[in-house]
Amino acid sequence: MTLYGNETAIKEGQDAGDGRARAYLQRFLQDNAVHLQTILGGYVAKMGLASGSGIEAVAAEVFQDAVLETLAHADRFNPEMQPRAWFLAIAANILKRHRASYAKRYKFEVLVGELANKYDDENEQDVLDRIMQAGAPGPEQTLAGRETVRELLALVSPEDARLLNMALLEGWDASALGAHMGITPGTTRVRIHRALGRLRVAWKKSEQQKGAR
Amino acid sequence: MGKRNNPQLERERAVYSYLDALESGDIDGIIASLQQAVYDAPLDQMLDDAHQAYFQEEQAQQDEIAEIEAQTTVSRLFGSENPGND
Repeated sequence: MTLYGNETAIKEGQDAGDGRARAYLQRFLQDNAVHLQTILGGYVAKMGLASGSGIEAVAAEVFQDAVLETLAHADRFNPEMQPRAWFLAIAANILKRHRASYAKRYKFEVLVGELANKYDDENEQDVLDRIMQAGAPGPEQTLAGRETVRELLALVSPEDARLLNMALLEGWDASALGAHMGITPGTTRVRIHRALGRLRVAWKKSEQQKGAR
Repeated sequence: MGKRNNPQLERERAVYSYLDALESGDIDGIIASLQQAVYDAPLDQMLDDAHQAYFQEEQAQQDEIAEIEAQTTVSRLFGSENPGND
Protein backbone atom coordinates (compact mmCIF):
# COMPACT_ATOMS: atom_id res chain seq x y z
CA MET A 1 0.00 0.00 0.00
CA THR A 2 1.30 3.48 -0.87
CA LEU A 3 1.79 6.22 1.68
CA TYR A 4 -1.18 7.97 0.15
CA GLY A 5 -3.19 4.77 0.54
CA ASN A 6 -2.25 4.51 4.25
CA GLU A 7 -3.24 8.09 4.87
CA THR A 8 -6.54 7.52 3.12
CA ALA A 9 -7.22 4.43 5.25
CA ILE A 10 -6.37 6.33 8.46
CA LYS A 11 -8.56 9.23 7.37
CA GLU A 12 -11.43 6.86 6.57
CA GLY A 13 -11.01 5.21 9.97
CA GLN A 14 -11.07 8.60 11.70
CA ASP A 15 -14.15 9.65 9.76
CA ALA A 16 -15.92 6.44 10.80
CA GLY A 17 -14.89 7.06 14.42
CA ASP A 18 -16.10 10.67 14.26
CA GLY A 19 -19.39 9.49 12.75
CA ARG A 20 -19.86 6.99 15.59
CA ALA A 21 -19.06 9.66 18.22
CA ARG A 22 -21.50 12.05 16.59
CA ALA A 23 -24.25 9.41 16.45
CA TYR A 24 -23.60 8.45 20.10
CA LEU A 25 -23.72 12.09 21.24
CA GLN A 26 -26.83 12.78 19.21
CA ARG A 27 -28.58 9.83 20.83
CA PHE A 28 -27.42 10.86 24.29
CA LEU A 29 -28.68 14.43 23.79
CA GLN A 30 -32.05 13.26 22.49
CA ASP A 31 -32.53 10.85 25.39
CA ASN A 32 -31.51 13.39 28.04
CA ALA A 33 -32.80 16.66 26.55
CA VAL A 34 -35.30 17.43 29.31
CA HIS A 35 -32.91 16.58 32.13
CA LEU A 36 -30.07 18.64 30.61
CA GLN A 37 -32.32 21.64 29.98
CA THR A 38 -33.50 21.49 33.58
CA ILE A 39 -29.90 21.57 34.79
CA LEU A 40 -29.18 24.54 32.52
CA GLY A 41 -32.28 26.26 33.90
CA GLY A 42 -30.72 25.90 37.36
CA TYR A 43 -27.53 27.61 36.13
CA VAL A 44 -29.54 30.42 34.50
CA ALA A 45 -31.56 31.00 37.68
CA LYS A 46 -28.54 30.94 39.97
CA MET A 47 -26.59 33.31 37.71
CA GLY A 48 -29.52 35.70 37.85
CA LEU A 49 -29.73 35.90 34.06
CA ALA A 50 -33.51 35.53 34.00
CA SER A 51 -36.48 34.87 36.24
CA GLY A 52 -39.89 33.16 35.94
CA SER A 53 -40.63 31.81 32.49
CA GLY A 54 -37.52 33.59 31.16
CA ILE A 55 -35.38 30.92 32.84
CA GLU A 56 -36.85 28.16 30.67
CA ALA A 57 -36.52 30.29 27.51
CA VAL A 58 -32.84 31.08 28.12
CA ALA A 59 -32.13 27.44 29.06
CA ALA A 60 -33.79 26.23 25.83
CA GLU A 61 -31.77 28.67 23.75
CA VAL A 62 -28.49 27.71 25.43
CA PHE A 63 -29.37 24.02 25.06
CA GLN A 64 -29.86 24.40 21.30
CA ASP A 65 -26.60 26.33 20.87
CA ALA A 66 -24.76 23.79 22.99
CA VAL A 67 -26.14 20.87 20.98
CA LEU A 68 -24.88 22.47 17.75
CA GLU A 69 -21.47 23.16 19.26
CA THR A 70 -21.20 19.66 20.77
CA LEU A 71 -22.05 17.93 17.51
CA ALA A 72 -19.74 20.23 15.54
CA HIS A 73 -16.87 19.12 17.80
CA ALA A 74 -17.86 15.45 18.03
CA ASP A 75 -14.40 14.53 16.66
CA ARG A 76 -12.95 15.62 20.04
CA PHE A 77 -15.14 13.19 21.97
CA ASN A 78 -13.79 9.77 22.94
CA PRO A 79 -15.48 6.84 24.70
CA GLU A 80 -13.61 7.49 27.97
CA MET A 81 -15.30 10.87 28.31
CA GLN A 82 -18.57 11.48 30.18
CA PRO A 83 -21.01 13.01 27.68
CA ARG A 84 -23.09 14.77 30.37
CA ALA A 85 -20.16 16.60 31.98
CA TRP A 86 -18.67 17.41 28.56
CA PHE A 87 -21.94 18.77 27.19
CA LEU A 88 -22.72 20.77 30.33
CA ALA A 89 -19.22 22.29 30.32
CA ILE A 90 -19.79 23.41 26.70
CA ALA A 91 -23.23 24.78 27.60
CA ALA A 92 -21.87 26.55 30.69
CA ASN A 93 -19.23 28.20 28.53
CA ILE A 94 -22.00 29.40 26.20
CA LEU A 95 -23.84 30.76 29.24
CA LYS A 96 -20.69 32.57 30.23
CA ARG A 97 -20.59 34.20 26.79
CA HIS A 98 -24.29 35.16 27.16
CA ARG A 99 -23.53 36.75 30.49
CA ALA A 100 -21.03 39.01 28.78
CA SER A 101 -23.78 40.33 26.52
CA TYR A 102 -25.97 40.91 29.60
CA ALA A 103 -23.07 42.72 31.21
CA LYS A 104 -23.04 45.21 28.34
CA ARG A 105 -26.70 46.01 28.94
CA TYR A 106 -26.71 45.85 32.73
CA LYS A 107 -23.09 46.56 33.46
CA PHE A 108 -23.46 48.05 36.93
CA GLU A 109 -25.53 45.23 38.43
CA VAL A 110 -23.36 42.47 36.99
CA LEU A 111 -20.14 44.06 38.19
CA VAL A 112 -21.48 44.50 41.72
CA GLY A 113 -22.69 40.88 41.70
CA GLU A 114 -19.31 39.61 40.55
CA LEU A 115 -17.44 41.55 43.21
CA ALA A 116 -19.74 40.22 45.94
CA ASN A 117 -19.30 36.64 44.69
CA LYS A 118 -15.52 36.97 44.56
CA TYR A 119 -15.34 38.15 48.18
CA ASP A 120 -17.59 35.33 49.38
CA ASP A 121 -15.75 32.64 47.41
CA GLU A 122 -12.41 33.49 49.00
CA ASN A 123 -13.80 33.14 52.50
CA GLU A 124 -15.76 29.97 51.68
CA GLN A 125 -12.77 28.14 50.25
CA ASP A 126 -10.73 29.17 53.25
CA VAL A 127 -13.11 27.49 55.70
CA LEU A 128 -13.39 24.30 53.63
CA ASP A 129 -9.59 24.12 53.32
CA ARG A 130 -9.11 24.54 57.05
CA ILE A 131 -11.45 21.68 57.83
CA MET A 132 -10.41 19.26 55.11
CA GLN A 133 -6.67 19.78 55.68
CA ALA A 134 -7.17 18.75 59.29
CA GLY A 135 -8.84 15.57 58.10
CA ALA A 136 -5.86 14.56 55.95
CA PRO A 137 -3.69 11.78 57.40
CA GLY A 138 -0.13 12.38 58.56
CA PRO A 139 1.95 15.24 59.91
CA GLU A 140 1.91 17.06 63.22
CA GLN A 141 0.06 19.96 61.67
CA THR A 142 -2.97 17.70 61.66
CA LEU A 143 -3.19 17.92 65.45
CA ALA A 144 -2.96 21.71 65.42
CA GLY A 145 -5.40 21.70 62.53
CA ARG A 146 -7.84 19.56 64.48
CA GLU A 147 -7.68 22.03 67.34
CA THR A 148 -8.58 24.83 64.93
CA VAL A 149 -11.41 22.72 63.55
CA ARG A 150 -12.78 22.07 67.05
CA GLU A 151 -12.88 25.83 67.58
CA LEU A 152 -14.54 26.27 64.19
CA LEU A 153 -17.17 23.61 64.81
CA ALA A 154 -18.01 25.16 68.19
CA LEU A 155 -19.42 28.10 66.21
CA VAL A 156 -22.34 26.07 64.81
CA SER A 157 -25.20 23.97 66.21
CA PRO A 158 -24.35 20.53 67.66
CA GLU A 159 -26.23 18.92 64.71
CA ASP A 160 -24.17 20.79 62.11
CA ALA A 161 -20.96 20.17 64.05
CA ARG A 162 -21.69 16.44 64.23
CA LEU A 163 -22.51 16.22 60.51
CA LEU A 164 -19.40 18.17 59.45
CA ASN A 165 -17.22 16.19 61.82
CA MET A 166 -18.44 12.85 60.44
CA ALA A 167 -18.24 13.95 56.80
CA LEU A 168 -15.07 15.99 56.70
CA LEU A 169 -12.92 14.71 59.56
CA GLU A 170 -13.96 11.15 60.32
CA GLY A 171 -14.17 10.49 56.60
CA TRP A 172 -17.65 8.99 56.27
CA ASP A 173 -18.61 8.93 52.63
CA ALA A 174 -21.95 10.36 51.52
CA SER A 175 -23.46 6.92 50.84
CA ALA A 176 -22.67 5.62 54.33
CA LEU A 177 -23.69 8.88 55.98
CA GLY A 178 -26.88 9.03 53.88
CA ALA A 179 -27.76 5.44 54.85
CA HIS A 180 -27.14 6.38 58.50
CA MET A 181 -29.47 9.41 58.17
CA GLY A 182 -32.03 7.72 55.89
CA ILE A 183 -31.46 10.07 52.92
CA THR A 184 -29.79 9.82 49.48
CA PRO A 185 -26.06 10.54 48.99
CA GLY A 186 -26.95 13.63 46.90
CA THR A 187 -29.16 15.05 49.65
CA THR A 188 -26.44 14.25 52.20
CA ARG A 189 -23.94 16.33 50.21
CA VAL A 190 -26.41 19.21 49.94
CA ARG A 191 -26.97 19.11 53.72
CA ILE A 192 -23.21 19.13 54.33
CA HIS A 193 -22.91 22.01 51.89
CA ARG A 194 -25.61 23.95 53.76
CA ALA A 195 -24.03 23.19 57.14
CA LEU A 196 -20.73 24.48 55.70
CA GLY A 197 -22.55 27.62 54.56
CA ARG A 198 -23.80 28.24 58.10
CA LEU A 199 -20.30 27.61 59.44
CA ARG A 200 -18.88 30.15 56.98
CA VAL A 201 -21.35 32.80 58.10
CA ALA A 202 -20.58 32.09 61.77
CA TRP A 203 -16.84 32.11 61.08
CA LYS A 204 -17.02 35.40 59.19
CA LYS A 205 -18.94 36.93 62.08
CA SER A 206 -16.44 35.64 64.64
CA GLU A 207 -13.49 37.00 62.56
CA GLN A 208 -15.21 40.38 62.35
CA GLN A 209 -15.71 40.39 66.12
CA LYS A 210 -12.02 39.51 66.65
CA GLY A 211 -11.02 42.31 64.28
CA ALA A 212 -13.21 44.79 66.12
CA ARG A 213 -11.47 44.06 69.44
CA MET B 1 -16.67 0.95 56.68
CA GLY B 2 -17.72 4.06 54.85
CA LYS B 3 -14.18 5.54 54.92
CA ARG B 4 -12.92 7.38 51.87
CA ASN B 5 -9.77 6.97 49.83
CA ASN B 6 -8.01 9.99 48.33
CA PRO B 7 -9.64 10.03 44.87
CA GLN B 8 -13.00 9.86 46.64
CA LEU B 9 -11.98 12.75 48.92
CA GLU B 10 -11.08 14.78 45.84
CA ARG B 11 -14.49 13.97 44.36
CA GLU B 12 -16.25 15.08 47.54
CA ARG B 13 -14.32 18.35 47.43
CA ALA B 14 -15.30 18.79 43.79
CA VAL B 15 -18.99 18.31 44.68
CA TYR B 16 -18.81 20.93 47.45
CA SER B 17 -16.99 23.32 45.10
CA TYR B 18 -19.74 22.71 42.54
CA LEU B 19 -22.51 23.38 45.07
CA ASP B 20 -20.71 26.52 46.29
CA ALA B 21 -20.33 27.73 42.71
CA LEU B 22 -23.96 26.90 41.96
CA GLU B 23 -25.22 28.76 45.00
CA SER B 24 -23.22 31.90 44.22
CA GLY B 25 -23.90 31.74 40.45
CA ASP B 26 -20.17 31.39 39.79
CA ILE B 27 -20.16 29.93 36.29
CA ASP B 28 -16.35 29.56 36.20
CA GLY B 29 -16.52 27.39 39.31
CA ILE B 30 -19.28 25.29 37.73
CA ILE B 31 -17.23 24.85 34.55
CA ALA B 32 -14.15 23.86 36.58
CA SER B 33 -16.08 21.11 38.43
CA LEU B 34 -17.67 19.84 35.20
CA GLN B 35 -14.28 19.68 33.49
CA GLN B 36 -13.00 17.64 36.42
CA ALA B 37 -15.87 15.19 35.80
CA VAL B 38 -15.33 14.78 32.05
CA TYR B 39 -12.95 11.83 32.62
CA ASP B 40 -14.41 10.71 35.96
CA ALA B 41 -17.69 8.76 35.74
CA PRO B 42 -18.32 8.52 39.53
CA LEU B 43 -17.81 12.30 39.90
CA ASP B 44 -20.11 12.95 36.94
CA GLN B 45 -22.83 10.95 38.72
CA MET B 46 -22.15 12.63 42.08
CA LEU B 47 -22.49 16.10 40.53
CA ASP B 48 -25.73 15.12 38.84
CA ASP B 49 -27.21 13.68 42.06
CA ALA B 50 -26.11 16.68 44.13
CA HIS B 51 -27.52 19.13 41.56
CA GLN B 52 -30.92 17.42 41.64
CA ALA B 53 -30.94 17.15 45.43
CA TYR B 54 -29.99 20.83 45.74
CA PHE B 55 -32.97 22.02 43.71
CA GLN B 56 -35.34 19.50 45.32
CA GLU B 57 -34.39 20.84 48.75
CA GLU B 58 -34.72 24.42 47.54
CA GLN B 59 -38.17 23.65 46.11
CA ALA B 60 -39.19 21.93 49.35
CA GLN B 61 -38.11 25.01 51.33
CA GLN B 62 -40.05 27.31 48.99
CA ASP B 63 -43.14 25.08 49.31
CA GLU B 64 -42.81 25.16 53.09
CA ILE B 65 -42.56 28.98 53.10
CA ALA B 66 -45.56 29.25 50.74
CA GLU B 67 -47.59 26.96 53.01
CA ILE B 68 -46.70 28.98 56.12
CA GLU B 69 -47.63 32.19 54.32
CA ALA B 70 -50.93 30.68 53.16
CA GLN B 71 -51.73 29.49 56.69
CA THR B 72 -50.88 32.94 58.09
CA THR B 73 -53.19 34.57 55.55
CA VAL B 74 -56.00 32.14 56.33
CA SER B 75 -55.54 32.73 60.07
CA ARG B 76 -55.68 36.49 59.54
CA LEU B 77 -58.80 36.26 57.39
CA PHE B 78 -60.76 33.71 59.40
CA GLY B 79 -59.03 33.71 62.77
CA SER B 80 -61.61 35.96 64.47
CA GLU B 81 -64.49 33.96 63.01
CA ASN B 82 -63.05 30.59 64.09
CA PRO B 83 -65.14 29.25 66.99
CA GLY B 84 -62.09 27.31 68.21
CA ASN B 85 -60.38 30.60 68.96
CA ASP B 86 -63.10 31.88 71.23
